[in-house]
This record gives sequence, structure tokens and C-alpha cells, in this order.
Amino acid sequence: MNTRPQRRNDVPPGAEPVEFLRLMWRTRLFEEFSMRLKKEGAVLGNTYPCLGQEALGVAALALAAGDAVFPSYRSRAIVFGKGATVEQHFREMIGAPEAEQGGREVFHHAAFPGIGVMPSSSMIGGWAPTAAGYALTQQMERSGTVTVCVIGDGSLGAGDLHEALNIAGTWKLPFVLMVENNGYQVSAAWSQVRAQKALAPYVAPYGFVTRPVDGNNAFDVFHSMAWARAEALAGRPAMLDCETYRMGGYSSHFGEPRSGIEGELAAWRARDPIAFVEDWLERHGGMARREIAAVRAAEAQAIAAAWEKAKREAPRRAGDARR
Amino acid sequence: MGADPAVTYKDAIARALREAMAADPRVFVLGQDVGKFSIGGVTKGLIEEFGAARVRDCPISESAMVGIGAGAAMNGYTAVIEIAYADILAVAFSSIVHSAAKLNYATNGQLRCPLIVRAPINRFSRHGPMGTEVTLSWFMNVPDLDIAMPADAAEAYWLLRHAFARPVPTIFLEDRSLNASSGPLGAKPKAPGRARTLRPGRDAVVIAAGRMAALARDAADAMAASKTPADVRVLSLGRVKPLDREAILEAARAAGRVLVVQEEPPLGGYGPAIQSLLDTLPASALKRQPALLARPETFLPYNREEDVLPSAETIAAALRELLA
Ligand SMILES: Cc1ncc(C[n+]2csc(CCOP(=O)(O)OP(=O)(O)O)c2C)c(N)n1
Ligand SMILES: [Mg+2]
Repeated sequence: MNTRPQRRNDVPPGAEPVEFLRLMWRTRLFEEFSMRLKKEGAVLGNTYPCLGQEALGVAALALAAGDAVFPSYRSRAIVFGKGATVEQHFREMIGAPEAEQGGREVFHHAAFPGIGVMPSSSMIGGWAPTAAGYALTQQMERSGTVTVCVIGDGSLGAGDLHEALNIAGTWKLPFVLMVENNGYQVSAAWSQVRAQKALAPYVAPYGFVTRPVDGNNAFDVFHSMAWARAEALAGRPAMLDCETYRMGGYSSHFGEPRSGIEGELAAWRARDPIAFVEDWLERHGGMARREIAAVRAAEAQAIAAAWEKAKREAPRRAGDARR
Repeated sequence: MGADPAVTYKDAIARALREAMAADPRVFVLGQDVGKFSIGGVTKGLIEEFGAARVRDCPISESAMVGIGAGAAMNGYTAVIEIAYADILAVAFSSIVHSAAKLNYATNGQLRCPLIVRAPINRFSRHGPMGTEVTLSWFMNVPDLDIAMPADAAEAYWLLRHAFARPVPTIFLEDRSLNASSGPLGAKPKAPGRARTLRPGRDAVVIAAGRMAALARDAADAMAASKTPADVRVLSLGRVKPLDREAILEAARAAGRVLVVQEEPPLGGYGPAIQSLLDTLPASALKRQPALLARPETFLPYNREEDVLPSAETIAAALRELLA
């Protein structure tokens, strides 16, 4: 079942590398901005930043509008990629009454069903069965769409995930499992919680085609999701094992729970997913450094403006957040 | 009015399910051995009529079965999930509570979760402490979750029909020991889901659900025919949650003497919920302190579980005490 295609850095058909860059900067700057808000006491909710994992969001750009994504709590990039806005996120964070979840569900589980961003769950693994259920209805309707279930590698330990994979594989659902394989489960390195780092040995036997993905290479992520989508639609549920690394704390409340990771951080800093695309754009995309820098500046400005707007919309709630 | 023939409890459930599937192509069944071999008999014939895509035999993955139902609900489908027996709800608890019941709340009404979990109570199947439990009380404090526990064929039929019209998940606790009991289905209730008087009476009221309501009716019938007759009303909750507070308070005021009977221990379930509801009545409204007859705080043995469960005799004895 396992296929090992070449990792590819060429421009995939239908892809706009500058869009990759916009999405990744939006994600990174948003994560940094929201950590600051939390630190300053301007918002109540905790954040689970996906710093270093921004390229995974590019997978959304290889999906069709009717495809559904059930994100993990660290999937900000793919949620932005599906079209959720920074402004919507700020409304959720503030718990503004006009937020889609009305101040009920935490923002890192916010659902925007209208654009195919479906609910996650605070129960690790719990959204794999719901994603499979959604994929089942897509199959029954012959809708030509797929469901993407995004999980962290720590979810491998959850029974719900295995139950869902067994069913999705057996029923050949239009289901893509996308793994944010950052090698850690809060403080525990993968080797403390499973025997193999790669997920394919676990998932392939359930009836999945699998593909290792360089999760810090936006091009590979895009190609791989396009491949996985086609496979899943052809009756072959697919798993993308996206190797990446969390370049920062676990969450705003736990901070950095890993120790002795200085070497790993240095190695992965050299594989920064944003620098990779910027480099590509300069060398192959015909963009000047100045134009590339403008992408970042524009996203930063948009985020600051969105925050101001969200605050204006719900000034009382934003002010109350210090309680 | 046409004839209203007697239908068994089990056939009433099967009929409501078949009708729902015929009416809506988005209703489908998940379970183990629900297809060609219908282990409980309720799904017999459905696979021939509606096809294997809508009657799906599943691996032993109850948590995922319920989660799949919740995911399907997000796209407008209604899953009917057959759990082999109610005890097994324990392994699907997280999916029922977090994935299904909380969906509407967490998404602030963006998504609804109609789904039905049919979980037969395996009463007198001699399956012991892990195979004959009621489980109703486990779910009492979960908002946005309906619980139905029908006492007879008519209740089983109309409550299952009603569950398909609800925007929230329903735990449907049918009692296998009632499967062969039969009665007419009657006309569609004016207010589906409301408590129902199984038997009128003026001296006292028994409030119960499922098999306990059926036994209370037997006990009340026997007391009416006894040498020292008593006239006891039986109010069957049918749908235990949402609790029909209005009917309970009305029945309690009318009779002045209330006995609540449940098959589970007394620390949870509808028993204590009804008692605390009755506490809201002025002291003068009732002639006696309401009584609760419940199983002691113990599990159920495979051998003679009836010894720890309320019976028609213990219900009658509790009523005599209440009437003394
Ligand atoms: C069933 C369950 N057990 C424990 C937790 C607490 N918890 C939340 S996230 C997490 C670690 C998840 O690791 P992983 O899936 O690898 O995601 P990452 O943080 O690495 O992105 C744990 C243990 C939970 N939410 N649910
Ligand atoms: Mg991880």
C-alpha cells in the first residue's frame, strides 16, 4: 500500500507559491500576536501555537471548496488556508457575542462549517470518528469531495483514532489523515510513547495508502495533499505523515515543556518553512527581496487592523478579559 | 376508526425504524450484526429493503460508531446506532457526551446532532454485572441529550418516531424483557414525548419509566382487585429527559401520595430528580412525603438479579405503606 514518491520542490499545477508565503506569514504572525495578547491579559483563551509548522496549512490550497477539514488544535494554518479569517479568530478569542461559537467553545476548536472547517474536540482522537462519519456521508452522496482529518502524532495512542481508521480503511471512505508529526506529545518525545516515529507502519495495515511528507516544505505538502485527495476519491483512504517540528512552547499556559532540545531547535531552524519559500520565490519565482518582505508587512498590518476592529466590535468583552 | 391491532414492543420499534428509513434516505443504521443476520431482530429485513449502504455492519468500535453518527449529523444525516446492550454504552461515553451532545452547544447552534443510540437493557438475559445494567443515570446530567425508556409498545413506537424529529441525540433504552409484551399503538400523541398515564387512580401515583412503569401497572391492577382495594395511578415517563416536570407536578398534586420507582441505585437517575422537583411544592400540596423505591447500591448478579430490583410485590408493599 505504501508509496514513496519523490519529494518535489517544483511548482505544482494550480499552485501560487506567493499564496503559500502569505498563508504562512499570516499564521506565524497571528500565533505570535495572540501569544502576546494572552501574555498581556487581553484575551482569556489559551493558545496552542503552530510555530514552525506553518507549511502544513498549504495543504488546504490543494483542496476543493466542498472538502471538509477536521483540524487539530494546532492547525491554525490549515484553518486559515480554508478561508477562516484572522478577524473571525479574534472574535472567538475575545468571546465576542457575534463570534461563531458565541464565546462557548475555545477558539482553537472553533468551527466554521460554512467553509468546511469542522469541529475538533478536546478529546484527543475524538474528531477522527466524526471526520470518518462526515466522509461516509460524502461517499453516500457521491459528492466528489473528501474529508481531511488533521491530528498530532500523539493521537496515535488514542483508541478513537484506531477505531476510525479501521472503519475508514475498510469502507474505503474519501478520507485523508494528515499527521502533524512533530515528534512530541507535550513533553514526551515520540520514543517514549510509540515504537516507530513514522506513522505508516501503524496506519497502512488499516487499508490506507501512505506518504511521508516533508512538512516544512510547502511544495511537498501541496503536492502530497493533491495526491492524497485523488487517492481518497478513488477509494483509497490516504495518510500523509508530515514530519515537522514545533518551534516553540506547547501552549500559552504550559510554555515549553521539553528539555534538552537546543540541538533539535538549531537543526530545525535551518529548515524554516517560511525561509524556504522566500528563498524559492527569490531564486525561481522572479520576486525581489523587497517584494517578498512586503508580503510579511502586509500580513502584519492586516492582523493589527483586525485586532483593532475586533476590539471595537466587542470593547466590553475585550476589557473584561482580565478577570 | 379502523382497527388498532396489538403489536409487540419489539415490532413497534422495528416499525418506527423502518418507517423512518422509508421516509428519509438520510437515515441509516450502524451496529454489529444488524445486516443479513439481525442479532436483536429489530433490523430484520432492512438490508434487503434499503441496501447495505444504509444498514452497516460495523467492527466492535462503539465509540467510533457514535462519533461517525455525530459526523454524519453535521452533513444532515441521522444515524441509528444499535449497541449490543446498554452496558456497552460505557465505551462510547466520550463520543456520546463530547462529540454528540455538545455539538450544538459548542458550535453555538451552527451544527445540530440528531442521532439515535438504541441500547437495549438486557434484563434477565443472565449476563451479570457487565451485561444487564440500565445506565440511564449515567446520562441524566448531560444537557442536550434525550433519554427514552419506553414501558410498552405504544410508547416504544411513538418515542422512537419522536426521536427522529429531535435536533439532539437520543439514548433509546428499550428493555428486552418487554420485547414480547404487546398492545395497540394508538393514535399519534398530541404532545409527543410527554409523560403518559398508563392507568388512572386517585389514591396515589407511581411515577416510573420502562419496565418499572410496566410493573407498577401490574401492581396497581392487583391492588385494585384485592380485598382492600386501592386506586393507584401510574404515570409513565417514557421520555425521561427532558423530564416532563409539568405532568409530574400535576400527578403529584392530584394524588397527594407519590411513589417513584427506579431500577438503579438511589444516588442518581430520575428518582432523586423527581424527589427534588417535588420539594418545590408547598408542604400542604402532598399528603405524605414522596417515597423512592430503588435498587440498593449494588451491581446486578447473573443469578437472581430480580432479588435486588424492585418487583410488582415490593412496589405494592411500598404503596401500602404510603397509603397507610
Ligand atoms: C483523551 C485526551 N487525553 C489527554 C489530553 C491532554 N492533551 C492535550 S494535547 C496532548 C498532546 C497531544 O500531542 P500531539 O497529538 O502530538 O499534538 P502536538 O501538541 O504535538 O501538536 C495531550 C496529552 C486530551 N486532550 N485528550
Ligand atoms: Mg506532536
